[in-house]
Amino acid sequence: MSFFRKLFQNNQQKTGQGNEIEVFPSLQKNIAYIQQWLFYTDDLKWRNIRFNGRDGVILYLESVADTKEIQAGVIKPIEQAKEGNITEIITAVDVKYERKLNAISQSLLQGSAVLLFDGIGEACLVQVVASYHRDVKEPDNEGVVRGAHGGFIENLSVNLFLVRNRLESQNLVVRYYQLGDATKTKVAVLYMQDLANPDLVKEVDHRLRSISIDTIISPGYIAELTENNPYSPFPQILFTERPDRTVAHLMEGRVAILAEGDPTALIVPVTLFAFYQTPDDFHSRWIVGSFIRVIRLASFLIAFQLPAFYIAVVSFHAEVLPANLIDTVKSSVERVPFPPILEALVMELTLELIREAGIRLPSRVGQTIGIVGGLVIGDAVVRTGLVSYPMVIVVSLTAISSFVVPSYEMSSAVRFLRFPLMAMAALFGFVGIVFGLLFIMIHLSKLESFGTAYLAPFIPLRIKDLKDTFVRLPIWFLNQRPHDPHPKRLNQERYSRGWEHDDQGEE
Amino acid sequence: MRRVILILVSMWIPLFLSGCWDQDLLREVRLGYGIGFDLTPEGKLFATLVVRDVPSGEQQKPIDDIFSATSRTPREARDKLDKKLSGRLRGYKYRVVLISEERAKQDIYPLLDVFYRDPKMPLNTRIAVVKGRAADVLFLRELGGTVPIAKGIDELIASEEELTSVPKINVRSICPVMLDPGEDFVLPYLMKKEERVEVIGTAMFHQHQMVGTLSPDESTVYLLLKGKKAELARFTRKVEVEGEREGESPSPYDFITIEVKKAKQEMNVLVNKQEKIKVQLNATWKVNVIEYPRDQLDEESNVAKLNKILSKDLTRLAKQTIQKMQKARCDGFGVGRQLIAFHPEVWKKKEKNWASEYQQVQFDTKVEVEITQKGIIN
Repeated sequence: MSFFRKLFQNNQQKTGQGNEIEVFPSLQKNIAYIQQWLFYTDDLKWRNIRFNGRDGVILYLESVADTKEIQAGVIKPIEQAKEGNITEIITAVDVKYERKLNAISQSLLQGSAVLLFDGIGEACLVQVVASYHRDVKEPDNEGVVRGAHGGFIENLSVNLFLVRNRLESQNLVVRYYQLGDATKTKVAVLYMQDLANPDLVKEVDHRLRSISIDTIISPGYIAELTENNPYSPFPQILFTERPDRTVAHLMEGRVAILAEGDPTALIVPVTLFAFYQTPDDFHSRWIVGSFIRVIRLASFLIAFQLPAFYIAVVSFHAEVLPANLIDTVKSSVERVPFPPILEALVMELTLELIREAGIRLPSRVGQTIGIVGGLVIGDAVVRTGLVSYPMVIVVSLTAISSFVVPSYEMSSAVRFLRFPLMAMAALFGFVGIVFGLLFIMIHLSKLESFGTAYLAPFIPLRIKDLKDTFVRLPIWFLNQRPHDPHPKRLNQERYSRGWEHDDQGEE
Repeated sequence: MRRVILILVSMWIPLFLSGCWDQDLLREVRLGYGIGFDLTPEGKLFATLVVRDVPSGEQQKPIDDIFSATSRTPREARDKLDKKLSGRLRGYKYRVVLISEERAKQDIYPLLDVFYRDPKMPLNTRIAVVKGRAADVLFLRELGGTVPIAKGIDELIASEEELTSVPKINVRSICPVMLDPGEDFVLPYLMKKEERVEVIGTAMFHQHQMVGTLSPDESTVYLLLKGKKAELARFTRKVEVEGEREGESPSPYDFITIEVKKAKQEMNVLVNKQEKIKVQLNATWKVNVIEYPRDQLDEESNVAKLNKILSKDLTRLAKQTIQKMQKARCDGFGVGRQLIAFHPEVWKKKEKNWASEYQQVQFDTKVEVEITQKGIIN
């Protein structure tokens, strides 16, 4: 009966006291304690063994431990040897001794097999954690045409492997943190010892250490708990699932934060322009890369100003339309019964709905959204005269421009910013847009990401860094690293095309 | 603290209460595309307005709504016209302003004052003088049965500008010239001819009033001498080469069409001790022969002969043009402006009756024509 009583008892206080309890000499007592500590969870398994003439037991959690590894690395050698020194016999890699029962129980959760022997006040912990992880695939939201197609996965050690594999340098430092009182999420901070600014590393360390929360779900939680200005609409931490992008940022002296169970690297500090760069820029020729980058930056402006501009034009400043254009616009606008701001809001919100529905729906149903969106919203709404053609064009142009942004977070931020600007345009016309942009500019100029100005290298201006900001000049032009993360070493390229001046005699 | 917040909030709310008081919704306005000014027998202003309506269907043609009102000033006319119109009348897309010759012979500045004063009025509107009534031209409704009238006249003048037969001007660019005592301007001169509108040259102005007209050739010569050559400048001249047949109707063989490729000109305003003003106007035109059936251009002597004939002919035309302008008192070359700039003491004396002084100015005009291209047949 006492067993059942124990089974249904949820006595938390007792576990709290177990901190300093050492291993009991009695095997049964130890097993009972661990069982109770884990509240008789059903995945706690044990197997009796006999070694050195003593009765022993192997305890493990079948949900985290690799049973094959236990069988091959622990049970088999013990069965064969029968006696001897246990650390010499066991073939598993990580073996250690532990006296505290609480620590022993905790290590069970982390995938250890625990060997306990009758009459010995010490347990042997063998690391046999099972790892199940998916393949390294190209991340869906950060595809590239050329270059590496591998992406991070949900396993931290694989992710670290992907980074180390690309950066075989002694200077790459990994620092582990454990965040979340309940989840105990393993977080790794990566940086280059010879590049990353020590103040930056210290700041990241400080901010991560001050996190005190039960649950950590990366990357959103970590970003929100560490970013400078959580009230800003702009993301201040770059999320990426690409190891090559992570490595490139590490080599600029930035810090990457990776977490167990999440395929996203958080990169700090970043500037606004980092969100508009992709590895593709560097894989295509520099002229093409620059062209595409300029288009992307133009899309930034279009994405949040075009609807506001259109509203201001049709409701305040129609005289700016050329004479030939005004007929076209006017004939379409005349039938619409709503004020332009309402027209725009309806269309923009519909678009957001379609977009959100597209993400949440399974791909098989997703086609329906395309039909509904394309036919109903695009065509029928204009034919009935609820929305004008130019408005549909404006809204779709905005949507396309906002999706050009390589970073999903920035894309959402830009799409959100349209709404206040549209309201300002509807109230005050161009003057309103100017004031709206003024507020945004003031905010952007003030914004910082881990001590780096958000608009760097534009504000504060550093001409040398503009080589890789609005355009991408040839790689052999980029002799110095960007200055914004204040790296320890600035030079990154030296005379790589020196061969041009060699071999002068030959043609 | 609460009071501070209250004050801050109450400062912000009125900003948003202002709402859309100055909204000017495109869908609610009626756009005027052209306006014509005539003179009534009583000396009042007779304004004719073209309002464009664009039906929203894709296939439908735009319809021009044309109507008139009598008033004393242009703004009053517009208010009266607005009373006959559904929706608010907006003038910011006027393509043309037409002024009848009769009205143009009076001061035209009052007609344009509202264009300069109202920030929403278009300054790139083309302006022209109409022989006869401006209303008659606008009531044609369409040019050639397809092009709406206001747009049609706008494009008609634009194409003539390309041919250097009318100056490239608009309401804005004539303003400083109009207000300058030392310079005058010319405007395109239109006429209704059998359900069509034709550009029949330019109308000369002195200060704010129309004082005469120039034929298309004279206009082109004037514009070339002024250095305002546009894309093309063509003349068709009669050249009397050997064996002129007297009394016969001119044969096409007697004509040459030339296109001025490069026009260089130099104007010097000289004042002698007696304060007599002399203007030296020397122009060198490099021309391209476009049409010359008599041909024989492969012989250099013939070309030289033609050069001579054309130089003489065009010098004569230039002199005739300038004479006409002097007679009309239109200082199109800005001789007065040159005096203001380089001989201010002379100008001060002559300022009072510059118009008559200008008529006394001695022009020394010379046009030199040089054929440089002859097409691809020789």
